[in-house]
Amino acid sequence: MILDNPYLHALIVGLPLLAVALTVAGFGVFYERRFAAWIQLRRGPVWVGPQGIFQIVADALKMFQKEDLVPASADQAIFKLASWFPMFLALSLLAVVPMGAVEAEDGSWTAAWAVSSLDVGILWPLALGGLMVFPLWAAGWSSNNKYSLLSGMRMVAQGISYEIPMVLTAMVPVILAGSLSLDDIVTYQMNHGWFAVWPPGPGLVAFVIFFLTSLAEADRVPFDIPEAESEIVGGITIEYSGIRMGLFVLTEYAHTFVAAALTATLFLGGPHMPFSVGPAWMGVVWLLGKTLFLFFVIYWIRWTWLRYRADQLMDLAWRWLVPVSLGLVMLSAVWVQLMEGK
Amino acid sequence: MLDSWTQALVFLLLSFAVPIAMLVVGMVLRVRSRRKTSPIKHEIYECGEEPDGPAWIRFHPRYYVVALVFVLFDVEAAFLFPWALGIRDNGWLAIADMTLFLGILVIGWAYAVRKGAIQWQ
Amino acid sequence: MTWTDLAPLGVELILLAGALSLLIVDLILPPGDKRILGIGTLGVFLAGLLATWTLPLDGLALGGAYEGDAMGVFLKRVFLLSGALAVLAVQGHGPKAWPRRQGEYHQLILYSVLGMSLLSGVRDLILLAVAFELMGVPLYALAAWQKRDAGAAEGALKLYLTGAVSSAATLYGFSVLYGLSGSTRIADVAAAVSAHPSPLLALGATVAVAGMGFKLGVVPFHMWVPDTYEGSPTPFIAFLSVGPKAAGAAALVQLLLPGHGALLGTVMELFLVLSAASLVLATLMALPQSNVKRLLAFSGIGHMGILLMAIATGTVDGLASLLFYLLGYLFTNAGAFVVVHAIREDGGDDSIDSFNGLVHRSWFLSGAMLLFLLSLAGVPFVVGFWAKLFVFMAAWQAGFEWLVILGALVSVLSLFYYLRVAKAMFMGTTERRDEVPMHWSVRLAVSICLIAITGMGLYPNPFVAVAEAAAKAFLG
Repeated sequence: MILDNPYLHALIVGLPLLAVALTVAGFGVFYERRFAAWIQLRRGPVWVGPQGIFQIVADALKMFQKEDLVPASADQAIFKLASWFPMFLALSLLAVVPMGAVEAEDGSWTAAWAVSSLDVGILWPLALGGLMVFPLWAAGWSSNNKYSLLSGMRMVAQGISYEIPMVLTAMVPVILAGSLSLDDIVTYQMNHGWFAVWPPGPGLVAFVIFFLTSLAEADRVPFDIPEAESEIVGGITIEYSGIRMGLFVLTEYAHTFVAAALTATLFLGGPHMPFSVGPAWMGVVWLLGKTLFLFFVIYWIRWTWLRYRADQLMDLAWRWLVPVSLGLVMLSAVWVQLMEGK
Repeated sequence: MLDSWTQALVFLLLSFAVPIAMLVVGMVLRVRSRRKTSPIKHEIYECGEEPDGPAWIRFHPRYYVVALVFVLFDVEAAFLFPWALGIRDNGWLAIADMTLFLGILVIGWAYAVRKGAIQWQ
Repeated sequence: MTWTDLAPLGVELILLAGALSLLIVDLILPPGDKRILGIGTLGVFLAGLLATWTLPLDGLALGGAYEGDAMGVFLKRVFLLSGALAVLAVQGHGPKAWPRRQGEYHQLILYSVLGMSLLSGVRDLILLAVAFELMGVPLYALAAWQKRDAGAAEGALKLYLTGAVSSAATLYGFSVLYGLSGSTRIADVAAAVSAHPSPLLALGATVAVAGMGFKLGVVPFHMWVPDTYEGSPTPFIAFLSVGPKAAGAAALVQLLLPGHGALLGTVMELFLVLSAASLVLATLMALPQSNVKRLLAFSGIGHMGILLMAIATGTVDGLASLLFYLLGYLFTNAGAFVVVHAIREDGGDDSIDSFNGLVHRSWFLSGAMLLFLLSLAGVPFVVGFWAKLFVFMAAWQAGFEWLVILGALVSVLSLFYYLRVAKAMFMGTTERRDEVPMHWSVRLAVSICLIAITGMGLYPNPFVAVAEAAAKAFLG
């Protein structure tokens, strides 16, 4: 079979995946504006194309055409490097997400169609996602702008603080499924129920915390103090112009999309269909549906919630999320012992 | 096994190519000024005022404290993963061990919270 | 593994449980007077001491990385006593000087003693490195205790930097030893050295020993010692100058002596040179000092030379003399520093001049200080004499005659600078006639040290017997 060649497999599965991610991210920029307008009872961008759906094309053209300005007093090399690195990291997290669901003769399900079925699965997105603070801080620092530096420092503080509960809650599926591999985690959910639903309680709480920390990692409201535009003028992106600025904007949406996809995979059963109908490729549709639903919830939160203060952010992460997620880890370990222990 | 790493690395290259491709397109499409550019264009933006000194200054030590506490918990998470995989085989002893380990860690966490290490107000 | 395998680690478990419960108490108590923490810490040390007699501490633990034996028990007592003295002496000073940090002081001392205690029976390079760090890291924080003081910051930074470099050196040395012998067990490493001696193994052992030499503060790795001593709180120095030094010596013994001193043989020349250099240079540098803490610091470096001499013998007699030396040095040096602390509390500034005419103000302190100084110099009827004598005898038998003669000469010379302090106390003049105020804890600490050094000085036999039994248990 052609997919036995690892290079071809990665290209055939990976390219469409990247295309979808970028499309959703780009379209998300436009959709968010319409959505915000709808919530705030205004019209938003409606002039370019029917209902304004070509707005993103116009925006992109504008970004590509602008002059590439680098401040004279900035740290040139790091400034340029930091502009494309976050996008690379955000997209690469998707490598291990299984997108298909295959039903066997006996009615059991198996996850399939990941770009790569790494046996260390979950560590891949956690490790690469953990690297995200480096380019963001580098961007803030190298700009030689006070607002950027403040924003970069806040980003690091927030990023590392929310990484702890994120890693800990990601451990709950690992414990329940007994494997690091995302394929195994999804397969387990397909046959035993989604982790957000079963075991009752710990799974749901872990799901909520993981989702919240994903928001914080992607710097989305209510955790967007690093780029609080009313306070520090947009943060690390101040000095960037043209396509470098566009990369940062697109990265934010891509990262949000990826975070939603990972949450759906870890806690909502990934491509699993709650009722068994349709061919295997329906799994892809289901996964995309779940991801887009979470994507929508993120917008919803953004346009209805207030921004947290820096100290409230720290307080929430360290005083509440960390101990609760530690408790969840122990609870799920006890659950596994009770259910399947020897 | 090795195949899955190959696949992952190929995907890494693909996602690497995306921002690079966008930068290249931008390089081709973008406008360039014909005249010599003014140095004011390359100034730092500080809400319209002239920038006042460099931004590379000393920073509040609270960020440093957060980084220290983070390292502590991140290492602890690294210890948790192998343990998490072995729960089914090691039984209740594994849970007792980890309860002890996490118990000591939680005391440290309580210490950090109580002494205001992560209080930012 | 089961929980009963931890039985030989009884003292360590007591220390750990005590430290953690005191931490919780510290968190629960409202800010303010936290004297209870000091008392509790003393209780933990006493419980640990009691356990060295009552609990069965012999046997293997941690999968063979740790082995409890008579020498370990002996060392544990030394470590626990040094910790207890440091905590006792600070009871009057601490609640006044740094009321918000009382908990941390006691915690850090407890963890440092925990690390030392683990060192008392290591059989594995990894446990050795980990325990060494557990002992060392709290010391960095404690050295910087007077954080607003520039001298303290300098001393602490020097300690920290040399400590970090020496840890790195020790670990590199260990990795070479592991790489060439294929095992992290010290016994296996020693066997590999005797079976296939190689210059690389000698290099690994040398680097590891040099790293530990930094912590011990032997010449030429001594730069941090006087500055750190000068800048840190004196009761902590009473601990730093004794406990970690004893633990470092214990670590060297357990690393070098197994397998008939196979590893020791590879670094013997280094050892003798370091020992001689420490003896001579420390004495020469101590002569012009006008600050008592710096003087005692250089005197301590000289004493490290004698410790190295005892280790270099590699014999049962040498090891027994080392253990006895550690016990005697513990009370002598800790006592001297506690007296310095008492003078400092009275408004002195650690200079020799602030000891002027002390005899008119407190015959107790001046008499005690005189005895401590005589014991440091090695004058008969206090413990220092016997301790040095036993080490010299063992070294003579081992064939280091020139080193022994050098040590004896240096001891005589050292009497000169010790007696400068005595002269200030008994022949100096002062206007003041008021009694030196002393907290009960300082009086108790000085009394304990005084009783110990005179008791061991007049009747050393039972202690020597215990040390010999311990040395035999280790060397077999």
